[in-house]
Amino acid sequence: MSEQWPVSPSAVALDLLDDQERVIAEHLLVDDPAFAAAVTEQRALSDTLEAMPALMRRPATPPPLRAPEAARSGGRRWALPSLRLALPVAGALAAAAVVVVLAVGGDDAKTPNPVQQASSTLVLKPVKGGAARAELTVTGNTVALVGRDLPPTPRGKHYEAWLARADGSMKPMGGFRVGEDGTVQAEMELNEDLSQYSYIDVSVEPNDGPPVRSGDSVLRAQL
Amino acid sequence: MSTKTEAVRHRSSPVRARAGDDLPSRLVAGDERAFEEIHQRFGATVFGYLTHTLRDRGAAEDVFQLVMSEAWRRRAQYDASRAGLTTWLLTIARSRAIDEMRRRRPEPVDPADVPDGSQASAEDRLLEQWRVRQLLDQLPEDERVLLELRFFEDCSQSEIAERTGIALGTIKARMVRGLDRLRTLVDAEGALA
Repeated sequence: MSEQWPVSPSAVALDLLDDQERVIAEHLLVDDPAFAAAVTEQRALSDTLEAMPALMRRPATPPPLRAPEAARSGGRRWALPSLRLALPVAGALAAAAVVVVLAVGGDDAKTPNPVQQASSTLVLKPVKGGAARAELTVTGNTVALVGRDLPPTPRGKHYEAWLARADGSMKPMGGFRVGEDGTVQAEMELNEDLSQYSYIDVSVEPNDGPPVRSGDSVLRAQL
Repeated sequence: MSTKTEAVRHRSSPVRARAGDDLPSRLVAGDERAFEEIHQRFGATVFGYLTHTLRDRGAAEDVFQLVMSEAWRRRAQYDASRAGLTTWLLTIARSRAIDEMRRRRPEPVDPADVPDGSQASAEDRLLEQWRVRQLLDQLPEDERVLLELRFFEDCSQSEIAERTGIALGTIKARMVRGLDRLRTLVDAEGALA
């Protein structure tokens, strides 16, 4: 590539410039169309990364291949035992900033274990600004929530986590309380297919209210 | 060496998807081990895309088998000079996902529900995002992890430095190098069909 600029277009796209570099970049953006085009290109890539929903950020565990498909399609049967042993590698390849643990049965390597537990972490961010933050880790049917900088649970109320669909309908996941130090560690049971939902919402609800969401959202993460 | 010099130099360097990658030619030759490797390397992305698009894990599992079966059946038609494996597999996945969605749609169809240009464009965007997601996994770990912290966990440069113990200047250089490399990988993949 022939472009040799004193400032990298990627550094511009990532907003990693110091003051001096920023001045140079501003001039280049005006004077050098090739530089401007490269910055636009890298910004688009940066925007694509930024816009990736949570579902995309954590790896999916692909199902093992079914040999009969190959047989029906005229192909030879695949070497399934080795393929099954290789499944954990597939998860590791797709690992993002999350930890993936594939539990593969060790007693019989020729039989695929239907329970492949992947744990992945979602970051919930404040709906109305502020420093509140929580991480929600899903492992099989268990959801662990760790939060900080949250408002302590008001008297007579509790926090509730919800699974929300795109149409706004919600299903409660479980309740928890936040201590005076603004932190929480809670565990909830998950018996839902997350791919059916669009986001996870956390709200503050009255203790004696109906089992529907009041609308007072605190944290949210897109799935 | 300054960060910016490193960045420019790296952008000027050729980047290969994976050192010694003869996977495409092995696939075309009908090497079953190559196909297993494809399942390992690309399966998560293809399955993730299908789950995302179909919003039904069971259907995604069935369509995934169709996609992999088709990829194996059509391996001789794969032309590595036209598209990378990620793009080729995702293109097959998109076609089979569309088939599945058409199959699901009850008859008669309300004209308002027929996909229009904007929906097709949204599907293309989704496919592009999954493609970039797969290519991100091909980056060296030291670059990939920093980009993931930045984009997936919304960490600032200082927060990344605190979490990883890596100097700010090094973080900057690696992130720039990672985004440069990602661009090269995207360009090398070819356009979506």
